[in-house]
Amino acid sequence: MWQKTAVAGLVLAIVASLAPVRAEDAIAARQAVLKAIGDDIRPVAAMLRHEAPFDLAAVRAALRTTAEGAAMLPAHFPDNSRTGRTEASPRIWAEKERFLALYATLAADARAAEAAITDEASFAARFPKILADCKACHDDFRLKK
Amino acid sequence: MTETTSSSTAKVLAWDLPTRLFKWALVVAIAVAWASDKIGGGNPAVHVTNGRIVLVLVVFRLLWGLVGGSTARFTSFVASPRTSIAYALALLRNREGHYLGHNPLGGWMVVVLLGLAAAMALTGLFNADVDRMIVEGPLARTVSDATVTLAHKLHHKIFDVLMICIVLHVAAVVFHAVVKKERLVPAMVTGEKPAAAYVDAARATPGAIGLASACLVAAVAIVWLGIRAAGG
Repeated sequence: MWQKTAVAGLVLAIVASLAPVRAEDAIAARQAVLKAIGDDIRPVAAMLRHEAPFDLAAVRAALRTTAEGAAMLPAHFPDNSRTGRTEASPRIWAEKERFLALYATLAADARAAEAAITDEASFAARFPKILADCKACHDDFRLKK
Repeated sequence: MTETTSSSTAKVLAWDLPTRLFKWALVVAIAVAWASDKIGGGNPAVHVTNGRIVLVLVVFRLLWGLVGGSTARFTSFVASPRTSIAYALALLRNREGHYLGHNPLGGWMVVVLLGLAAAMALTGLFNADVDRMIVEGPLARTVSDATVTLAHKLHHKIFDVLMICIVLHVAAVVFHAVVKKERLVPAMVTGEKPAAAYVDAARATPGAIGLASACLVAAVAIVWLGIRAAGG
């Protein structure tokens, strides 16, 4: 009996992995990840402008969210998700390699910054690079509203 | 007028020191504006401060255009449309008059470039990224998202126009150097041109350095206090 269930489960898993991701799901998934990053970074960006008190734990949490998000995001831009309710530029698919490299850079920089940022001085020195990584990608691959 | 030993022709003053310093400072500021936006995702702090410096330079030039050296004054080089067209037609026939300061077309290019630099700096004051997290002009907080979006669009469109005008400007300078054998870049560096029968004036009268300093202080005050008064 259990063998039957296991085989059925295996077949289901294979079918599920082969089935194309629905475009709306991919768009929703990447927007959720990007929003999580943005929500975490927003208060940290305020700290950088001295509009909020420095909070090391919040900075590190934001960097972890960013690194983890940047690692997940490449999977959420399948070929069928070019159009729809999305600000994703068609250039993402035309220059996929460069686009993905920017996520790799962001993930690596966020992890390095999380390790390197220990106080307000190292925060002021290291965090702008993370925002620059965000901007580098938005400039070329995010459509303007 | 003492003659330099290496040169056989006499030199006369064409552009005074403050005008030349302003000109090259604006070139540097525009290069920094581009680099601080584009290179490696940019440096927002540098970009925003540089924008203020562009604004200071433009305000300085407007003041210097009223009280500065003879060839820096707007009244000396902003020509009427009739004069400008006549000059352009003469240029095509290779019969144009030679100017110590800006020729009529060059004068209009100065006005256009100053206007575009000002427009870039002014729209930049209200510009920000969509999330208002990465880069924000000093007055972006004082306006609605719709205004920021408009400022963003204008900032980018005006940049394209500015690039076209810079290309035209450089092309005209190259044209004068290659075709007309009139080297404007050395003149804008040293301030001197060979003495000749110029249409506008035989030699320029420089503006006073003290007055230029006062114009610069006034420009800094106008920009900083102006932004503060506007809520930035």
